[in-house]
Amino acid sequence: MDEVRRVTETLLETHEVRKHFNGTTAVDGVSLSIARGSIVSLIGPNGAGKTTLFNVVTGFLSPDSGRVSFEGRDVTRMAAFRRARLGMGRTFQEMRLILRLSALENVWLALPNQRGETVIGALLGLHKREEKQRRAEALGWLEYVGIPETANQLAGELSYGQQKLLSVACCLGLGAKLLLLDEPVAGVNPALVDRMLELLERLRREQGKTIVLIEHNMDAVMRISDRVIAMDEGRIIADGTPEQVRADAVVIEAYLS
Amino acid sequence: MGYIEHFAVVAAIYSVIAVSFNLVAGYTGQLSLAPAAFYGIGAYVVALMALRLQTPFLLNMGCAIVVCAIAGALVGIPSLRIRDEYFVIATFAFQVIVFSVLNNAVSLTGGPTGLAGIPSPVVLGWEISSRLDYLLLSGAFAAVSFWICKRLVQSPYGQVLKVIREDERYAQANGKNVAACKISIFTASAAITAAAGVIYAHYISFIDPSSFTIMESIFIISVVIIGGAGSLWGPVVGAIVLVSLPEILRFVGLPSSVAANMRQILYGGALVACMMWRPQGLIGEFSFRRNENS
Amino acid sequence: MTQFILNGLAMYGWLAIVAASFAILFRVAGFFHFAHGLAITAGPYCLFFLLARSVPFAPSLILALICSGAVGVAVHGFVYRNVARHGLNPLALLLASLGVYLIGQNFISLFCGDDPVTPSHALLDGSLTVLGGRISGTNCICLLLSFVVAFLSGPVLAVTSLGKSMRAIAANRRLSVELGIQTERVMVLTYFLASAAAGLGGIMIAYDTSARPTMGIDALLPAVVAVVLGGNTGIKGVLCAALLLAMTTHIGVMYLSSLWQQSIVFAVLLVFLLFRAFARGPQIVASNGSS
Repeated sequence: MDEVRRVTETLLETHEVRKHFNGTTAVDGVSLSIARGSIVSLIGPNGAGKTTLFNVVTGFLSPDSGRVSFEGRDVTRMAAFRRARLGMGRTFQEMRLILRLSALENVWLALPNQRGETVIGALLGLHKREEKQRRAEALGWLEYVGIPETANQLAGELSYGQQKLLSVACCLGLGAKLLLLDEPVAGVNPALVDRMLELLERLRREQGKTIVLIEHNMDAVMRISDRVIAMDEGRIIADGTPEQVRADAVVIEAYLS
Repeated sequence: MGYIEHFAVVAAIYSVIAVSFNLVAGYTGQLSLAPAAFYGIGAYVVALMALRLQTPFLLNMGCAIVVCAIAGALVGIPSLRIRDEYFVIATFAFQVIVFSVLNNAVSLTGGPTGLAGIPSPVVLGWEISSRLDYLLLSGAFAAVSFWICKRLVQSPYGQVLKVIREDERYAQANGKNVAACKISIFTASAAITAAAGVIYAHYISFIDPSSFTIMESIFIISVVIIGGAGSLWGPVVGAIVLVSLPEILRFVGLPSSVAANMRQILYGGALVACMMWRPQGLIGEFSFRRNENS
Repeated sequence: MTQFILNGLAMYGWLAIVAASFAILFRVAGFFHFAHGLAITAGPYCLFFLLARSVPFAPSLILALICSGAVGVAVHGFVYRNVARHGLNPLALLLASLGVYLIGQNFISLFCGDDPVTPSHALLDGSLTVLGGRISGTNCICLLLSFVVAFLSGPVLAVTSLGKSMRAIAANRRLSVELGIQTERVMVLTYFLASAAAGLGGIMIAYDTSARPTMGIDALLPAVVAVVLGGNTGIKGVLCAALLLAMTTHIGVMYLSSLWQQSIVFAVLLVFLLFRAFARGPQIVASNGSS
């Protein structure tokens, strides 16, 4: 494999992204590029603009100015669902799963290009022919993240850690190339933190996924990231390897003050 | 005998409306105050064509369905950006404007005096004139609309609708085209409602704007909510219960002047009682009483 | 032209009061309280009932306003509190309020008949001629009263402890409970005062034209529109919207038949809502409640 090309190729790029909310600037001119196959952590105090940046990247908010491009394509004006179809999967800080559906149905829902997802398709019953295959596909992803036993349980009945794993499975079901995970291990018990980190590394290794995560758990961040970006007050204040960022005086100050 | 048939025809017509309205309100979670407007548009289009152009029934019905579908798509557009109670108000506005056109555009619609003498429809050489004929026709319509609803909601499309109801942002994050789904379900729902208007116009053979007021919309909403929004059989149960409820008054022997008011009081009371004690309706699971998370 | 503007002003007289009271309830209670229409209808019917039994005007008026206020409090106490037991949901409450309105309107029409009821004599005989247009004495009194209420409500909301509590509840109900504001007491008072004001608006309508069982919803519709148009700009915005709406309606009637009054009001609303919704880019909107 041409390992070098995979690491240096840019998957996601933002250019001078800015976003204001009633007078306060949430994101203030952020430019960054994420290489394909890397694991990048965004850190910073609450209100630093990390989640807002995620929302701008995934199309849930439109930036006041700046550009976002994905796989070399300008997606600044593209609707959120189209970006998801291009391969941007995301999870939310507050768990967003359909709690009244089973774990399997949640993953099934995320599968792209389903037949019978239009009025005509549904009336003709086109989905019936591929039902078995889709079910197997969804189950496959549940197995991949290590929670096949929950397939028939309602998402609302799963433990918090299992729900986090399930939301990653949904991103995989969607066929995401880029996973934007908002606090994937916050509030999860240590055993599950290990499982999640292992899963993320496996995803990069086996599936070639690119992962960007927002996380406050510094141990986890330092263990898994190739690169850490620290933000404060809407700006990037440090960017480098975990060791570099950990030693950065500005970061220490932003966190301690 | 005739009385029971009449009752069944009315219940079947309301089942069609309720089942179609349930698609948008119950399954997609878009509460609209305009179902009676679509019902009215369907009835007026078919009545005007039958009276003025004397075109055949099936053509009239096709036109009514197409016109309503377009109107439905137009009402669906605001739902893309306008939410919850503001969407209710926007559809309210649509309902008021449609009623106003039916009532005031006298040269087109006959105004408050309505349209009388709508002829019996002829379907493939079969003239539908007796109550039994109408019962068969409306029963067939009810069955077809129920089948369509079942087919839609038990498909990936239906699953997306439910996700839109629960969490629109999550549907988008999963790559679902929320706008297309909303507009298509509004279109489909309005088209089915039009069919109910078509049977109504022919069955009663006289229509006037007073049948398509905001009060009628509230009645339709009550049917769906009391039966059980977001369930397959809920609207059918609701239609049968609410259409039969005022029949009790008939047995009590109230004068007709009082009965009209008492009916509305019953409907209002049923709606309030439902919101207070059983928001999911008689056999439903979903309620508009979602938990607030802030 | 002047005549149409004066007609618009006459409409503004009652619309301002109805819209302002509806807006306050919308902000404090957090949903569209359609049963507010009942308070509008209850005022004039109660007044005429008392006047017909030769009770003098002043006590009749006071009793009628109390009656309207009581209607609002009763709806809140018996219905909304029960619906909101498991958390405030605007749509469930809106549906319940429609049901309550349906019941109320039909009871009024059962007991008082569907015929319009007109006052036995005008509030003030004669009329005023302004720049070639005529405005009746009744309308002048209503307009004056409406200005007084509008001007008083601002300072009252800003200064009194009731007004402050109301604004606190409107801003954040849960926090207000924790801050020790007696939410329930404030809510009851708000319902009482707003409903009494609506009753006053209803009485103005009755003196301007007549009282009918359906007058509640007819008067409430433009008020709802004014509240939506006024948006988040507070009572002043709602009052401005009411003025704009009253003028648009009557100037629109210059070109179209008066049959289309209601359509004009709602067309304005629809255009406004669509414009506001589609003028901005995609924004995150919390799908359940505010967050």
